[in-house]
Amino acid sequence: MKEYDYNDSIEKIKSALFDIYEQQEYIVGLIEDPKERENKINQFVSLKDHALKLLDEINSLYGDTEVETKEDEENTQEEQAKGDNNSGEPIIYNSVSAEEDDEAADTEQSQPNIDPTDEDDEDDEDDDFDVDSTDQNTDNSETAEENINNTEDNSTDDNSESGLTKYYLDDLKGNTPNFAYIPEKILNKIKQSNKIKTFYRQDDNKIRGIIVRSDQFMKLSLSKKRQEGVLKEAKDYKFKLLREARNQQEQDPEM
Amino acid sequence: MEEKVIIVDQNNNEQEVELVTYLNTRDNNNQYIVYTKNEKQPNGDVIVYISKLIEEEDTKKLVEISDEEEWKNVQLLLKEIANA
Repeated sequence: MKEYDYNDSIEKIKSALFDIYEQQEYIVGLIEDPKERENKINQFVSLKDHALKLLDEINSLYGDTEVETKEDEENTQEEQAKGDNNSGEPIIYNSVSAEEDDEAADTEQSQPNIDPTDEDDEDDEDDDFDVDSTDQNTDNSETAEENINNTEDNSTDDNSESGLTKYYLDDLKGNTPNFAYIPEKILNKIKQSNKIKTFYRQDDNKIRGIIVRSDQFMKLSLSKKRQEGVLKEAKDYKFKLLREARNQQEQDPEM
Repeated sequence: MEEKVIIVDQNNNEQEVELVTYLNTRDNNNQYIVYTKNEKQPNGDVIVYISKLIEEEDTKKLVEISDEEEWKNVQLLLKEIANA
């Protein structure tokens, strides 16, 4: 039985990905046509979101622990599906078919309760799961709570070890529940996405305006994205790696 | 792609504008928002508006820049980004 460090591989992929982001930043800055630049930025953001989503999905499957090879992993997943989840790793089911409902129902009865009002302390920068039927998820939170049976042990395990709070989606057919899990911070992000920022003027003084060229306008727009996270994440991640490398070097000067 | 925000004046009139970016002074004491009402000149130039941002708890407030020295500094901040 071989063991493979997925976490290390994921970190390397992330590092390579952010190197690409920095290169893209440079390329975007060279584009003169504002529309083309805008398109490039949109593609850039879309690529980044997709890549991070994939990375997070991989990470959620394998967690922070070293995992077994494929055949052992399949056996482990079968055992976990039967409710024997002692590893503490989060399990994310995208859907449960009608045929598996009996089995899933037994599993679900041992799943933790959900309280949508609980707040998660984790940073929510990187999460961009595509969640199907997000409206359903928001609207059916009350129904979802009614469908949940609590088990103290599992509730403690899941909420403390994985840090995830799970929500249910109702079955589209309206009969047997069809379960899907998303982290609470994703749900909050979806809720907040509908809110528009509002600013309140405190005086009636004349508003100061200035005329800028279209290329200058694009640079200003780019700076906002840089501040809010698209490229900021890349820089932050780079700084984090540099700090870790520096710390390691200080601890082992012989290296 | 630009973020739309709402500005409410003292008569509670709401206006939807597009948020372009934020400006921060080097000492991080002052923050400004730059927004546009989509007013474009015939030659493609764009008019942007700049207001000082004050955040109190969960409320975002805007104060107009009346001090000339401050306005000059804000323009320098804007130039720094726009001509980078």
